[in-house]
Amino acid sequence: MELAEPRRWWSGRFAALAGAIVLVLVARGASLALGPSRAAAEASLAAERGHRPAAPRGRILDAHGEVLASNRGEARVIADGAPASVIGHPARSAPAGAAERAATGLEQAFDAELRKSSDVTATLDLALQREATAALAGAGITRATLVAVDPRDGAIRAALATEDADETDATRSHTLPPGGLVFPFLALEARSRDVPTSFVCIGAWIKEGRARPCTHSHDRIESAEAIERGCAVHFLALGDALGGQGVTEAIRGAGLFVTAPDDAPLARVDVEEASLGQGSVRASTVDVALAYSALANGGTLLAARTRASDPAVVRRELPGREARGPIVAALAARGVAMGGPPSVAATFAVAELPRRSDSDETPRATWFVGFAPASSPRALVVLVSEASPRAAVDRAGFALVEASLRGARP
Amino acid sequence: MRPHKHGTAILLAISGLLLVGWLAQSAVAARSSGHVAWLPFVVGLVALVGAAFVSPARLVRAGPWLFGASLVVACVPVRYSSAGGEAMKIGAVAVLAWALGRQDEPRDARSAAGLLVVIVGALVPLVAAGDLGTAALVVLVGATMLAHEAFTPRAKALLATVHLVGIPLALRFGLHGYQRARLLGFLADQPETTSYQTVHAVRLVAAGGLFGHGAGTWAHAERYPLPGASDAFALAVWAYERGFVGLVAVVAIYAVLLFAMLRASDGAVEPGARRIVLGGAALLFWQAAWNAAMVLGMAPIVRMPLPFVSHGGASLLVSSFVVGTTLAGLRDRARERRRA
Repeated sequence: MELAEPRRWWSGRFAALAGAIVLVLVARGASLALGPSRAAAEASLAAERGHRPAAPRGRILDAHGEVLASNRGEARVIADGAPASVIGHPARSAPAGAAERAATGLEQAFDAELRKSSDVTATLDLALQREATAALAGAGITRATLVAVDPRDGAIRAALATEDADETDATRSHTLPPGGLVFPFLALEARSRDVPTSFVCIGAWIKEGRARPCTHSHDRIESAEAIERGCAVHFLALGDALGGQGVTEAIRGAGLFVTAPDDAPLARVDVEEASLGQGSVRASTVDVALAYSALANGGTLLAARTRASDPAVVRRELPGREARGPIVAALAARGVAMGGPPSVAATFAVAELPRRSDSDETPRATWFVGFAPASSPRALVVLVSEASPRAAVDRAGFALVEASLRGARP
Repeated sequence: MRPHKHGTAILLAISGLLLVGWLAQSAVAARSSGHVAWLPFVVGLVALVGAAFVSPARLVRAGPWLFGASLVVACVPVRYSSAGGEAMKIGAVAVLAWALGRQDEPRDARSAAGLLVVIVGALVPLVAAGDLGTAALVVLVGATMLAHEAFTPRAKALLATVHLVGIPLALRFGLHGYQRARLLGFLADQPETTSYQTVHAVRLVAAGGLFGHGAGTWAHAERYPLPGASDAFALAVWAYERGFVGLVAVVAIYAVLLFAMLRASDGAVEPGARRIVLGGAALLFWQAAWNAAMVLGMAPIVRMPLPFVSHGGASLLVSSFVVGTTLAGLRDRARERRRA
């Protein structure tokens, strides 16, 4: 049927709605690209014009009352050994106004109190931070990030990035494939889903014409023993039994990332990669620290905590948490096999990174995770390096777990 | 109405978006030392020109057949293929335009029920395939098209009831567990459920500042990882390199395209054609808006490409087809004016 005359601006209602949505999007883009908040932008303008804020900014203290960030004249000064990038500055000394402008780190997180000249106590431990800096330098470890946490409440006690100092906190934002560090979480997911958890390793994983070699073969073993032995074939078989969704939920359930789109089911080859903590799986040092803290503390995945007065925030319970006992025991045995002291449970993983276009070598990330005491952990350290050999990473890792335990609260 | 002016505006907007798409894809390709795939652009151009020669009225008459064909394509399980979802976009708009264009206003409850059956029929294979993005798009486009129609009070009550009851039911029973967790986590603002891509896309936009870091800089910005950058998150790379100014420029181009398409819809000769052009405009707008909201951390992540900018032949083909249909409508309108 024909309409006699088109109605004028028939679609005007939709145009009005679309215009409103466009305005919201542009406003959001402006707030992201042009500053974290209006107050911060105003402080920035004032600083550039040479005006100091009316009230001096409060200090940031460590867990024992040591000063991490303070004011000296017109400058904001970060204490020697304190992690500048974690506090929110690219360098140890920042000009006037830089602290108010900081869009990341503790300066931004504590901004409301600091603006009122109040001191804020962080969970960081400056002495441990200095020990970590010295340990990495002593072992010659480069291109590394390190985090020490209290696994009981998620408090970040030390955070360090070598050569990664950025305007953002590399321990949270720099993500890498975690490799075999995902094995315990696959094992727990399998327990919660009641899928087979014991497999034979013939020295290779062969499926649909593709073969992946393993370092050794063995008879049928359970997942805990496979973690102790570091058997990749066991977890390829486990990933196959869990399927793409199971593997994805296991990894995401531990707070790590699977970067594949949510709507796309993982292809078989991607499930294999994800079962080995490769491919689309990513994690920062903080993510790994919180995931292993959950293993260590009884199965509770916590949020990271940087303010001493904040309570612990529970994110969720790990699936299959009641089965974590044998896994922790396996990590304790693996720690001894790695050359660590008997009281430290530990593991390592070597993950392949995307190949750079200008090199034929496959770059690798070497991870270390350790916590102590293995029976009731109070200190946990995660260290990853993209350049240093495993022996150096393990040595520094074990030393830092012991240092972290010495300063841990009872 | 001035069909030629609107046609020119549409062609200029499409050219601008294709240029943005090419530059964004080039930036992504430079990071992996690869090259931009030119074939999707050629396919899109062919689709645009081809559709420009098909009268929208004829397309509307073929609506049920297009819908049937898209149902068949959507039900074929092809892993990682977006063909089913893309075909359903065209099929759903065409069949709704056909159904709306052949009924008298105001529509009664029975007509409204028939329209709802069509929309639900389009959603079933999409939800079954886990394509939450296209399913959401079909709902938004369907709602936009229905919002421009007149219904009796009983029909309005039926539509409202189905929305109020159907959406919670779909969220409870129609989604995979991880989809529901992600969606509800986003709504509850739980940082740990916010997607990895969102976190890094927001970082890229913020790092771009006002004017961006310049062309080719993302290739060396190794501290800013973003998997899927060529697909749904091409806009984040664009914002990093061209800044807020570049972001606003892209938004402005979409605004011009949408305005011209809506004016083309208003001036369409035939009721079905008017509705299919409106549906096409809604299709492009909701995709662009949701995609931008995803990149800016304001919407949960689903499969929602940015029309003409994101990598992907099927998406480009459908977007070009929609615009070609609009141009054909403008051509018909110009012909009518000359005849008058």
